[in-house]
Amino acid sequence: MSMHWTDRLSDYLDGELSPEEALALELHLESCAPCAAALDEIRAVVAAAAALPEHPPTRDLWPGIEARLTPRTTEGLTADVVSLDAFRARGRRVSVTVPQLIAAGLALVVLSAGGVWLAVGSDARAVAGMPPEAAEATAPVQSPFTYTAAWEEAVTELQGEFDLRRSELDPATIMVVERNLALIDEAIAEARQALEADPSSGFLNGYVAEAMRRKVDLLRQATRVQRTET
Amino acid sequence: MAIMGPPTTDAEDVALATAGDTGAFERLYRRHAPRINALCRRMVGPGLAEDTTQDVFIRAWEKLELFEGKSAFGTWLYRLAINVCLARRTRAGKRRERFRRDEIALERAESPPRRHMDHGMDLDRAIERLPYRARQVFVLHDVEGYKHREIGELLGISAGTSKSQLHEARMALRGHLRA
Amino acid sequence: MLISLMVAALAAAAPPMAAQDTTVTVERGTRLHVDNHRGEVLITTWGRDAVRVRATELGDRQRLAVTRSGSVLRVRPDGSRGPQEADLEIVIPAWMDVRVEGNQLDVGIRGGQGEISIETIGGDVVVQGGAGLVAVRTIQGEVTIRGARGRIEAVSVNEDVTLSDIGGDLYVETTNGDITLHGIRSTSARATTVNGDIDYRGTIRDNGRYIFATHNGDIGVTVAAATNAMVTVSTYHGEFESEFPVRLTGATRDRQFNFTLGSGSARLELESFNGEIRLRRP
Repeated sequence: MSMHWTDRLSDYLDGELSPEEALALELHLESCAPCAAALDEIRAVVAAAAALPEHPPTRDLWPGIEARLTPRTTEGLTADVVSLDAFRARGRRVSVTVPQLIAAGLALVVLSAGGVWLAVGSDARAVAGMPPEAAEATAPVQSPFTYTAAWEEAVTELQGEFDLRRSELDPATIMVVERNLALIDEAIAEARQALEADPSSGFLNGYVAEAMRRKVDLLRQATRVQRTET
Repeated sequence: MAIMGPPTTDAEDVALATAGDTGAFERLYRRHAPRINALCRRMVGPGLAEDTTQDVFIRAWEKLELFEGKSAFGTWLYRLAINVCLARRTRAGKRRERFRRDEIALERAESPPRRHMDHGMDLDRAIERLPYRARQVFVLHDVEGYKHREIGELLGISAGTSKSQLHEARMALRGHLRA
Repeated sequence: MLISLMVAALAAAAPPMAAQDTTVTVERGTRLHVDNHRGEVLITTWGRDAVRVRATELGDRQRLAVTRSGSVLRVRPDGSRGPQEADLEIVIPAWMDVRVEGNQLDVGIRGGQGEISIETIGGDVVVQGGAGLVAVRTIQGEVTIRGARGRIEAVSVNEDVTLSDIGGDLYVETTNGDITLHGIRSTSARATTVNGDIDYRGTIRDNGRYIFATHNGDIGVTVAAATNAMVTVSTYHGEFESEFPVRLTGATRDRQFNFTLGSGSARLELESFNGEIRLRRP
């Protein structure tokens, strides 16, 4: 069995070879039993794949889905918009009357946690909420932050703030924030687990710190949103 | 939860669901869940399949107003499901204890099953053990009928890479159908 | 002190939902601030030193307020009760800096050559153009930026961020979404996500710095064959594939390894905890 020909069997089967190549392969198949056998086996795999059965869920997933459907009145959170024209073509969506006023100005900082934030150092974007200074953008990916207890304190404080004021946020936004916090937590847990096996790893230490930084950042953004909504 | 009344079509239910009718959306779920769940099972593995199926329908609800009716609803939903699966993929990959080299997984996939049961079951189990990329390409091409060009766009790989991954997958799966 | 330039040209007898349209002249250097809780804001440019604001939709009992305070021209729907809701079409001089804030707000800006800053919770953001600083921050919105120059900062939490045809430094972040960076000419780029892929196609400039990191997702980096970079690859459960010849420099430790392309002038850091990392040629 020649590797040269074996590698082309799928292309042959799928009609991807030129007529000349296909003819040459057919000639080879006549004299090469292993290649001919491989072709038959591949053909059988393809046929079996096309006949694979459906798999209904083993339990009714609908109640779980229904519970997570956002009412249509808060629609429009996600859309594949790529142009202004497409924006216009999508029609109306001003309809909700939930009394949430966005406050003017953005000098609303999470001061308590901000103190920790600045004490932890390295990120100057605490105030305006806009992303970081150039200095951070040029630092190595895992080194700008060192994991310390201050991160945990900042997270606890911000989480408390977020929980206290959650009634002020749109439920869909709360869901999104919590899902993303959970994602970050998973990442932190995985990195921590790896760290237990390899406690001296600079990579993993930096990794956990970076994930904590992201969590603090997300919580801070969420609590700031809450404040501007009141 | 009982679905009463005359049968409705996908198009009718899509229109109702877009307007906020969750009952219509439930009918869409019941019609399409078996196929979507099968896709998720093969793309992300049985452990995450049902969770992913839920996500697909929640995402579909959120995106429903963007469905323009140019294709069948099932086709649109399917494409969306593939995207949801691809977003979860490495989490599934991790469970397969993947390491640096795909060959480890290929070796395991190539070892024939101990006992022959139903071919479909065997093939599904073997698909689960394929290396991540080969598995996605195989499911999309041979199970779902996508073209290499489309797969390339979905996975961000060239059509040539899609072809070679497909061939690798098929070669690895041969053993599972040997009598 | 706020000086009202134009507040609701409607008399008491006029129909309350009529669209409003006003144009005010502005001096060079004036900045535009738009506050709109819900709806959409579309901004385009023209050759005049003037701003035209048109409300194509206004919420109940809302009126359009265009006010000036110092060098800031502020546009917002205003009403005694209820949230600010409006669809606004605004035409500005291309030089004008713009800031837009809102809650569930779609924002589209095309043709601006000034600084752009946008902050929302949900709704999609599309920016074409922009120079100096282009900063977008949202939680639930998709962010798309094309043709911007200068320093670009794009942050979402739960959606994808897509940048194309960009000249300048990049800071891109999302948590649950993919990051796509195509046609990038940058000397400094940092893009990170937790649950999503990152795809970078662009230049790696000598002495430049490029950082791409994800937790659950793949990283694809397509760069020119003649790239000069010291590459650091970090992965825990992931894999690495390269279309470039890889000769490791230094020992592999800590799930990290380095290798050099060409002269090794730039720094390229690639990190995926669980996913694949691929370095490709165009």
